[in-house]
Amino acid sequence: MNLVVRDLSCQYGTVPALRGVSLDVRSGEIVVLLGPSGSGKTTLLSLVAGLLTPSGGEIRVGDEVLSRPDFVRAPEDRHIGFVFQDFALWPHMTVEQTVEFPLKMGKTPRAMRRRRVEDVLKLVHLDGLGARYPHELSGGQRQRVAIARALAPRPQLVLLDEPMSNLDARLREQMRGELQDVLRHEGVTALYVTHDRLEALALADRLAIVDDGRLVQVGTPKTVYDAPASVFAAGFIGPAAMLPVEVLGSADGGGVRARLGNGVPVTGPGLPFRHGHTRGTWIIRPERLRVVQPGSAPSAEVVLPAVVRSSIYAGSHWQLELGVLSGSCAVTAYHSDPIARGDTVQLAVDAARTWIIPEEDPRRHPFTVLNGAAGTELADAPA
Amino acid sequence: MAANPSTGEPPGRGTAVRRWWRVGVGEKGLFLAAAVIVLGLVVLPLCALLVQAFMPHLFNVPASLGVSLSGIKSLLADPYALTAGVNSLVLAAATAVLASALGALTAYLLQMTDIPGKRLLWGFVWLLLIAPSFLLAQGWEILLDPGGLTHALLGGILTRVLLSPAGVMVVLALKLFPYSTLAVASAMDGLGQDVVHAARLSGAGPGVVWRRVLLPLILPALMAGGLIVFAEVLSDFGIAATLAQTANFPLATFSIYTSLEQFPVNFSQAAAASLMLVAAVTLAQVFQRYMSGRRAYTTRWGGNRALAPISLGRRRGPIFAGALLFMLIAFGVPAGTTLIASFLPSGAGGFAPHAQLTLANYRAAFAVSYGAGAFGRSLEYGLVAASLGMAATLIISLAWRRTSNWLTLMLQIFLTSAIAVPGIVLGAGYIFLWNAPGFRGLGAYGTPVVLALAYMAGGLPYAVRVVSGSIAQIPGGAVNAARMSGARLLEQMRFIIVPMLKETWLRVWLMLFAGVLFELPVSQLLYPPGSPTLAVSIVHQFNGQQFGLGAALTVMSTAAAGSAALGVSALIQRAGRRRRPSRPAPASDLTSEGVQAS
Repeated sequence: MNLVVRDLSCQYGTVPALRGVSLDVRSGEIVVLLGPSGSGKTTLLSLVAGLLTPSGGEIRVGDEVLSRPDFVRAPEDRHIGFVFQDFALWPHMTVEQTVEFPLKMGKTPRAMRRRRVEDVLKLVHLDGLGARYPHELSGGQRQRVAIARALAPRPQLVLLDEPMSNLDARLREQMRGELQDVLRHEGVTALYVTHDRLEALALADRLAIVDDGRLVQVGTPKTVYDAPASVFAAGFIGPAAMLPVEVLGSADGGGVRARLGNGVPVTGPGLPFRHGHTRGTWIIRPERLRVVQPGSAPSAEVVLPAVVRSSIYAGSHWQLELGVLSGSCAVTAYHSDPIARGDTVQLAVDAARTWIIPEEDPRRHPFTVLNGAAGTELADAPA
Repeated sequence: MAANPSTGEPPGRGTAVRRWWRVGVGEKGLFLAAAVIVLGLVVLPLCALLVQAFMPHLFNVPASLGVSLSGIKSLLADPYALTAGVNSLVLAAATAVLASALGALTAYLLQMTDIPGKRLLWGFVWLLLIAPSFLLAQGWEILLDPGGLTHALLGGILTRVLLSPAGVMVVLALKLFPYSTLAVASAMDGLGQDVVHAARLSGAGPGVVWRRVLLPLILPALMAGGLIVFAEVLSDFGIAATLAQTANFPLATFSIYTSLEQFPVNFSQAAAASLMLVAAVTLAQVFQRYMSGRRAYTTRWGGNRALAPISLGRRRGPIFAGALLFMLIAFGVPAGTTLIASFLPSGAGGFAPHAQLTLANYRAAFAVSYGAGAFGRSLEYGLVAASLGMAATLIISLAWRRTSNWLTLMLQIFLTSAIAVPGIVLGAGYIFLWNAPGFRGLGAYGTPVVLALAYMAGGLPYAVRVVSGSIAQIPGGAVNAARMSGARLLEQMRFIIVPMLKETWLRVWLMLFAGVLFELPVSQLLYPPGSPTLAVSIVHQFNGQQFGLGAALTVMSTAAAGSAALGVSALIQRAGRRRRPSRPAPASDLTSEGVQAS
């Protein structure tokens, strides 16, 4: 069942928490809301769940209206599964009783309830633990119970509010894959909130970047990573050097022509150039930067002299922090060996695999949505 | 699921029955029920009483809205009422000072020193706190009886000392000092070693640390404890109706009682006296909260290590013996005297030296000439009022958690303030209300129904306070998770809130039950003619010098309350065991990822 959110807004007193958000989630799709704390992503989730009342806009699941200005359906009538950040398990109920509870509320016959509970517990690898109470479970097991409870009544939509935030790093990694498998197995539509970019990239069919109560970009993880719609989105989805450039115009065959502060010309893919754009930001991911010997870089690549500020060991590589453009900007690059602090090196950039944003203010860009109801779909990222 | 094309609502969900169900017991229904309970049980009776202080003819037929201060004037012109009022104020102030001193001393010994037998001494503190004042007062009266042992040994000196205003003050202080102990001990508990170290490193000697650091930190709690004692003395009816009465020392609560018992009743004067009493008690409580709110318990802060106990050295033994003796005098003497007297023939002269032990008092307790069946009756009242009170408490606490508007806020403030209303005033309010036009015709006055309602009303402010606190502890996610699972209001209550707070319900039920069993002022005013309650019957036996019989009834009621407490404890433990199986999950079952190893 697809979820449709139209022009949704919400205020806490006089403070706007959500400002006219529109979003479509296709049936069976996992959309991850990614944004910093206080950006409004949990508010959006709570509005869809019915735990908060919107101040405007509409929410539909399939043909069913959940909320609009003159009508708000109670959470208990929405048939939506919800996985809470702290799992919200009831201390007086066993695992079985907890998972069975929504089925009981839905008046499912006892025999069917039992079967479904067994199936769901098996699905989340909790078979044999049905008689345990929450305090007898580990963090990971508690999370599985919360997921099982949300999935047991076969809801049309599942909402997950930072369900991994209470797990340790190793368990989080393991659960990402498992959760995706479980959601796919059930074929359920899911809206997932997190501020962890790795979690978002791993789980999402599409990402929705939230900032200051607005959706600033919606797209596949690869699109958002390689072709961010704003400097904010570029920085939030992963590490990147952001070098200021003077925007010169559109390049032949697409892309943007620009010039660095030291006069070096740059041509690469980017957001569409419009008249009036005079400045912009060149987004370079660390994996697009290479330390090269002087004169060894291919002529198509842009070469920047850089001064090493630090070399940090990161296991599979060394992470170099460098200063470029006379030390006015910091960039990060990966290298196989450490380089002494203060050394000057040459950085080669394959400009065709970078991204130029002609205007750094995200609010002046229309955000991206699926169906074209608002904003413009971005082109796929460069290969 | 196909939706209604015009509204988008799914079919079948908007049927009339479901709509009624939602409106009937939904948020609004719950809020309405809570408002009706608080208004009907507490607000209306108290307003009916207090408004009469200014509108003495409000409930006349025909009613008059004329405002008059005649009630207050007649109160000020009545020497008995005036004396009782002044006595109460002086007694409250003196008792507060004495109880604060005793409380601070016991708190110091129990909280800050290495005195042995702390659990035993704390046990006595709690016993004194929960024991009804009239039972302790009667224990002293038995001891002081002219035919008793102490009279024979001390030649009536003790009788003369205790049956005086000073004696009443001492007995009250011995009963009420635990309030001060608890307040001060709580503040002392928060004092940390770092506070002392900081002062010592600043150059302060041990004396200066006490004078300049520790005492100023404890002082607000000491004052708060004293103010609680002050308010308790003003509200007390148990000792006012027994020991103080025997000592010919009239107090305000008893004066209100007598003004309602005399004929013709001066309703407006009784209302004016109640108003004054409520004002004085409220003032004391407001001041106490102001003190608490500012500083009283803010001695605790993060990372502060507990204060090392002060060593009593070789004086530990003698100081413990002294503390134990004090507790035995405060609780052991009146309780022990009552227990022994219950096995002595009634009329044997109280605590008589050579009397034969007998069970006659217990046999007679079931067939006393006055108040036959009082024991069983009070048990029934306790069961009914505690159970209905629990239901009312649940409705109010839930409604207030979920709905917040100006009316809720007003009712909350009123119910919280009702804690300060002495039982005698609440009882008087019920007399006024149920005799008011519109209520009189119901014929409920003088029946067990009104008494049971008054019992519920008396316990409601405390019960709602405790339960609201517990409900606030339930994480919002637990209830939201139930809602997202499809649980409606009643199902959320039945499956989530009630089971999660099972232990609180049991404790509050016990509190209400025991409160009804030992309740005196409301019972005294409202018991149906010819059917007195246990507390009324006990006081009656004592006033008629039937010490043995009164003592037997006291022991029986204490045993009933104790049995209920044991039963409730067993239920709590059983609930705990079921929720926390004795066999914990074997560690080997859990891998580091928290998944059972297969």
